[in-house]
Amino acid sequence: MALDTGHVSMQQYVDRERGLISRQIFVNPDLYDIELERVFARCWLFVGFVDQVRKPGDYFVSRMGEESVILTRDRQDQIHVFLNSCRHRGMKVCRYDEGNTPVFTCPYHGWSFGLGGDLVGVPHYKEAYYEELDKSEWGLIEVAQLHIYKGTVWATWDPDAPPFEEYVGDNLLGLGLFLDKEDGSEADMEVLGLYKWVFPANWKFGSENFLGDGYHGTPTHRSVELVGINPAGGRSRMTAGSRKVMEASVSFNISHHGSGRLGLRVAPPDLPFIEEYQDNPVVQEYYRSVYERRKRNMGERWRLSSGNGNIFPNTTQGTRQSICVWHPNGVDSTECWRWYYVDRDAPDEVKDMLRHYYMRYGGPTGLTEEDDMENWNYAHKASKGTIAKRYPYHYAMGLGHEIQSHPALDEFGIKVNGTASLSRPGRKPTEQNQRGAYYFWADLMEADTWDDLRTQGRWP
Amino acid sequence: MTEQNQAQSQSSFGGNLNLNVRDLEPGDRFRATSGGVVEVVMNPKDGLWVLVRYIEPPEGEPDKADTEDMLYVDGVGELISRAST
Repeated sequence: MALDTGHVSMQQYVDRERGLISRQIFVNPDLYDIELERVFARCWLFVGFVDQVRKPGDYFVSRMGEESVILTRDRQDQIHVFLNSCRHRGMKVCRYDEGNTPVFTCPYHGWSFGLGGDLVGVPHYKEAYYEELDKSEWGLIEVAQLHIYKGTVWATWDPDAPPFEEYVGDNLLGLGLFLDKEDGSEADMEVLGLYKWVFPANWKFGSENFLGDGYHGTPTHRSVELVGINPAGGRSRMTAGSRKVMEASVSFNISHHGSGRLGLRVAPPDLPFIEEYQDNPVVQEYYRSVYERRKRNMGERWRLSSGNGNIFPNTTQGTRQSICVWHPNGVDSTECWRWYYVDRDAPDEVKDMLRHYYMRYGGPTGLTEEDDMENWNYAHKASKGTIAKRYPYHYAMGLGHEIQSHPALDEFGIKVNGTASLSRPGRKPTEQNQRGAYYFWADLMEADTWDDLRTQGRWP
Repeated sequence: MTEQNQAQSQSSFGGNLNLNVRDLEPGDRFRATSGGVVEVVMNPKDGLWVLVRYIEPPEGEPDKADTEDMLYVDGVGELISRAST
């Protein structure tokens, strides 16, 4: 039985007129419990990559919210996501991180489940259960909906959740650009590895950082910029080429259904190839080839690219080819899982260069992510006090300056159903996306059904 | 094997303690404690289950001949032959 969350007004926590958000939503344990039911048990969550379950019997143990799940591929090549909990007494039926197996056997009493989740073995079925147990009723719990999008696997426990692509809404374009190969052809990624770590702050801090916070870069990451972790060598966090693309492009923040894209970019048609890996001819030649192939594969749409983003509630795309999930781990804790991937057909030199760059940049060893966590950890702690909780956070940057269309978007037929903000040319950070996420959070926490959101005009 | 030794080599529920089920390989044959002779088809190596095919069905259950079944560790009796020997 689901937790009876009752009907609680959540609008008190978001002030849409002034762009203020209550600290309670980050630190209140009662709200956190409701959140697990109303957000994490209903929304689409990222589970893993198809690349992690390429052969029948492959499995990867992932998480959805606080719960352990198994991503696996059965003998008919169907991908499944199951709750990692035996139906008999709840023990995890899989305690490895990944591998290949024909069955998942519970180590507690020995119930055994096939790759399709069916209960295939019950010890002493004849003698103890008199063959009266209906095994077909006691298979592993499977997610209600599963969607594979460009090599990524997403799932929801809610049979009534909108289809994945409708759920992602305006940000589907940015997500697709982010996942497809750098040469613009269909995504085909090789997972390099996965970092997992825990930090003492609410999960929303990580999500909002990548969802829309283009404001924190200079003060937070100045030291990294000075040290320099640039994959092409030298100072800065990114290559000169990446920076030039960013600076030359018209760039938008996009907010829809709580998800946000920090930088949907439209490059000028005459943007040249930028040489930046002169010290490594293989890498240099590869990126020259990527530039040429991107134009061939995408036509005029080669000019579109995507910066960081977050699919509501907690799946971040950022740091070139990386997906990160901010798993709720109690109101005061987040278990972060950050995957890095590369285009499968990239040369080994490129994969190696990126692997080292990713380790320098993100995860618990990455200088940039260390900077971020320093902020989140202390912000969280400093927001828990009786006095602190009385005062909301300020999210009003750019409030009232949202747009619904722009010539650069019109050129590519991009419609905005949520809101957009122009963040470049010039430098115009905005907190539009964070506001959008927290307004949607409040709406979803309050709505009893997805239809309620629609009828109340909160699902544009 | 004496009666005492045989008793010591059986688990509380009747399985064969002289045999680690994880070590069984496809083609190995053994007696099922509930009767009949089976051959290992696949071993998930979970230490608890093996997928077997009945070579000789248990007495009174001729329909089981040549059928496959998941056999629990308590049902694994005396080893008859190894596929590798």
